[in-house]
Amino acid sequence: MLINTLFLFLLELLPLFLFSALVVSVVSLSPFKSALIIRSYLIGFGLGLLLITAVDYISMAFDGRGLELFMFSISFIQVFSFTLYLYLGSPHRHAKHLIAVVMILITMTTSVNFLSYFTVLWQSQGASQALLLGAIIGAGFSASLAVLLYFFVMLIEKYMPLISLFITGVFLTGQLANKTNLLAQIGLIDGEVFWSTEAIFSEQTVVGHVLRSLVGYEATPIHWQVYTYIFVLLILSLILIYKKPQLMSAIPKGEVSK
Amino acid sequence: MVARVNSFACKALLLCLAAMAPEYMADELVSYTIKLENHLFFPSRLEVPRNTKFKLIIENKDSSLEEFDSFDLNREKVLFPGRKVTLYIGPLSEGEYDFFGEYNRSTATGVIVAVSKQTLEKKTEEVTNAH
Repeated sequence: MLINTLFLFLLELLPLFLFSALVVSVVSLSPFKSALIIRSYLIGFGLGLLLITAVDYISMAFDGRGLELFMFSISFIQVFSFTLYLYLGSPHRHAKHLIAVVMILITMTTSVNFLSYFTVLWQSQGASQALLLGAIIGAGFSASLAVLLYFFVMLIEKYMPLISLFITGVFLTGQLANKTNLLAQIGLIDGEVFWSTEAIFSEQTVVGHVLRSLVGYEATPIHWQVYTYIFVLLILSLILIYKKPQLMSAIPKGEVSK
Repeated sequence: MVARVNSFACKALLLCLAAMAPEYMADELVSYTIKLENHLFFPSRLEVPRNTKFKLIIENKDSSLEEFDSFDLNREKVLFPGRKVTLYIGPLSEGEYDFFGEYNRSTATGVIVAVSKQTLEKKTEEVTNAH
C-alpha cells in the first residue's frame, strides 16, 4: 500500500508538481500576477471534482472510447493554447487566459486520476496509515524535485533566455505524445512499437518516471508518438525562434539578471 | 479572437480524428477475454500469436473500480464495476508482457506471452488431445 501510494504520486502528481515549477518560472518572466497560478489550480481542482462524477458516462461514449478521446483532446488543447501563447506573446490581452487554460486542464486531469485512486484506497480496510505515509513521502519527493527544477531553470535562464518557455513546451509535447498511445489503445491508429530502450533505460525506475513526467520519455514508443513529438516540438521551437525578440522585450526589467 | 481560434482548433481536431482510417476497428481481429474477479485476473497468463494485432476484452466482475495497467504494453484503462472494456494491442514481438491492476498490485497481476503461431497451434493441439 505504501509503495502503491508512492508510485501513484510519481505517476500522477509528479507531472503537476514539475509543471508548477515551470509555470512559476514562466509567470515570473511575464507581466502576470502570481495569483493567476493559484486561481487556475483552484478552478482546475474544482473541475476535477466535477469530472470524477462524469467519468463513467464519458468512458461509455463513442462505443467505449470516450475517455481516451477526451484525454487526448484535453492534451491537444493544452499544446494548442501554449503554442498560441508563444505566438501572441505575454503582453497580449488574452495571453494570461491561455496560460490559465493550460494550468486548469493539467490540474483537472491530474486531480481525476489521483482522487479516483485515493477514494478506492481509502475505502479499503486498514489502508489509511500506509496511505498517509505514502502520500507524505510522495509529496515530499515530488515537491523537492519541483523546487530543484525551478531553481535550475531560473539559473539557466540567465545564460539562455526563454529556456523556461522551451522546457515548458517540451513538457507539454511529451504529455501529448504519450496520449497518442490512448488512440492506439482504442484502435484509431497503428500501435506498432518503433524502438525499445527498455534494456538501456527502463521507464519503470524512479529516474524513468521522472523523465517520463518531465519530457515524456517512453522506452517503447509507437510510430505516431515519435512523429507527434518531433512535429510539435519543431513547431514550438520555430515559433520561439521567430518570436524571440517580442518575447524578450516582454520580460519585466531585472528578472533575467536575478 | 482566442475563443474563436480555440473553437476552430477543436473542430479541426475532431475532423482529424474522424478522418483517421479506423482499420483496426474491424471485426476480423482475434479477440481474447480476461475476467477480473476478487481482484484476480483470469486467465493470469494469456498466450497470443506474435506480430499480430488483437483485441483484449476485460470484464470487471468485482463491485469496485480497478485500473488495468501495463508498462510493457503501454496500456492503461479504467475498469468500471460490472463492465467490459476493449483494448487494441499489438503487434507484439515474441516475449512476455506484464500487466496489473493498479489498485490491487499484489493480487491482480498477469502476463501476456507472444509466441510463434506454430507454438500456439502445438499447445492448442496438446490441450485438445489431453481432453
